[in-house]
Amino acid sequence: MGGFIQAEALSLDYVATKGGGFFKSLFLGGHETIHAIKDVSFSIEEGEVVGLVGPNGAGKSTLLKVLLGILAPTSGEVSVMGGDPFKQRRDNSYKTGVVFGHRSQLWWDLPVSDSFNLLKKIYKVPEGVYRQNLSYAEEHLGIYALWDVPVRHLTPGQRALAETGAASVHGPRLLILDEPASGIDISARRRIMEFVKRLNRERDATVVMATHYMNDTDELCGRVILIDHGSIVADMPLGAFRQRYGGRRAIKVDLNAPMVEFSIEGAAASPEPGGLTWRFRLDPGRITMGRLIDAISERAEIARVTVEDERTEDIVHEIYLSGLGDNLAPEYAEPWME
Amino acid sequence: MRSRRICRFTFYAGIFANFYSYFVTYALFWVIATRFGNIDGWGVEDMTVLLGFNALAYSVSGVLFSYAAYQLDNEIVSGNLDSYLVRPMGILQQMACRSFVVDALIGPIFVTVVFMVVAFERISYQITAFNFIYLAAAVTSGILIQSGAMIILGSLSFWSVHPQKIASVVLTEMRALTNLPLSIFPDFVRRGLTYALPLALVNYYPSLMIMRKVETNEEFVIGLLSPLAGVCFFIFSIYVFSAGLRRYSSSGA
Ligand SMILES: Nc1ncnc2c1ncn2[C@@H]1O[C@H](COP(=O)(O)OP(=O)(O)O)[C@@H](O)[C@H]1O
Ligand SMILES: [Mg+2]
Repeated sequence: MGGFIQAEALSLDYVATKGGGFFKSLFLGGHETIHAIKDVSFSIEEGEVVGLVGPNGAGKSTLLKVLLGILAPTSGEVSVMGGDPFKQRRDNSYKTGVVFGHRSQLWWDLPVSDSFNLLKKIYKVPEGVYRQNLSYAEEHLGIYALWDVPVRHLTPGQRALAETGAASVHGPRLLILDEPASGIDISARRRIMEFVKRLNRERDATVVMATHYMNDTDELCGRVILIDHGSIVADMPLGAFRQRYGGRRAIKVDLNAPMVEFSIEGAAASPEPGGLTWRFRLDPGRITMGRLIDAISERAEIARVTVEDERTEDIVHEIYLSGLGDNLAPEYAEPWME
Repeated sequence: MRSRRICRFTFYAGIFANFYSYFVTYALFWVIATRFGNIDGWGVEDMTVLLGFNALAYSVSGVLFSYAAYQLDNEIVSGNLDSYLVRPMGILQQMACRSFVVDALIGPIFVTVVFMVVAFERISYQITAFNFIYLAAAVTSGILIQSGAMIILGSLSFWSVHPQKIASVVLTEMRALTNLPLSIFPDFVRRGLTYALPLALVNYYPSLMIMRKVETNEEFVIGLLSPLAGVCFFIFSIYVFSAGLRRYSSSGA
């Protein structure tokens, strides 16, 4: 298979044991199969920055683990940097930088500097190259300010900066980022995105970043792969993606008294349980924000209006409704609304 | 590790604490053993060698692999194992680095060597080429057997067994049995610790050979082969670990 990263009809099933532990599962066979990735095909060229976007539980992390060789696919083909990532996990790991946003790659009780030194040894980075990469990371992330602090004492934002810096010390050709900026402050997030962008532009790193925020991709990604329930729903350049699905706004409205129903031309309404809070998604071609709010206040007393970020769930919903997703899985019928 | 070097005080304090506790163990043991003469024909020197092999094996393997035995389970549950898997170094090696602290070794090794040398001195043990090689091989093998046991215990985590309890029974209670001559135990214990969980090969059989206490053919054969057994058992443990890792890769749990 050619291509920097290539997947052909890739599937991955988790076999989860249903409670009861080892012996029960051994004798009673209480297994449950979760189809986390279903028949997925795509190809990524060297130098691309790809956003893997989808709601929680979509299968983003699972797909990244397959690309990293942590999990072996149940069926299908995958190749990363010219080989089977599972078979050549170690070879590939020398050329790959990884950030798992939800957990630390650094040594929890050691100062940041010790973690970097250990990584330098583990990845066998020559002294000169290490110095160079380190000062590059310092320039954009400001890690020296954290140098002597034990990792466990860092704030989430500082930790994310250190993690991202640490993932770059061996000069990786491929960066795999799993929610690298989740739950951190805006300034740290911006620095990380900027740094990753530079690693791509100035150091030729190919980037695959998973996120469940559409907004994360805006600053960084040239291409978006939208994934839901283990299938690719859309795969296109960010520009085209924005043009097709962007611009849809959502607002959240808190009411003074519960409502059972809203029907407003050009806006889809969905209540939260209780009917006091409603979410409206408007089609900009048919109604403006002002008209929508007018229409709502004609029908109910508004306590508060919040403009919301575009939720990936909503975009997925949109694609389903408009039927534009060529890769739409047949079983893809109901479950976007929880 | 640098953080260790920075903390000079804790470093020396750590050595001293370790040194002290091992010294007290041995000193107490000498007092008791001298008082009571011998246990089933095992005098103070014999018992010192028996204890010494065990202490060497356990301190070295513990520094390297007790993290794997006790923490692999948590690393899997927390998802940390994935972080190990994306780095270009063996998982066991990375875990060994995690738990490796030199000062945990200095105390036990120093005290053990001193007491063993004294014991050898008192029985005028001849350091011939063969004896020297046998001794070195037996110590290495003991380390490998004990390490293998830790690796196998830790590997149970791959099969969703939480090994901490089993590990502490095997590594503490069962190992404590081997601080005494195996001959005083019922036959099934002797067989269990020889063939099922070969902890007796760490110290009992090598001690029989060195202290010239071999009585049966079985003891002689096992005593002679126990230095080799370590390599086999360790390889077996790596095999179990790899099988577990393969299972993890195909099920994610
Ligand atoms: N180790 C695991 N064992 C069993 N099921 C899992 C495991 N990890 C993830 N899953 C399930 O697989 C699906 C995809 O999960 P994941 O890849 O983590 O999604 P995402 O990263 O997009 O949030 C979810 O239904 C999740 O519950
Ligand atoms: Mg995830």
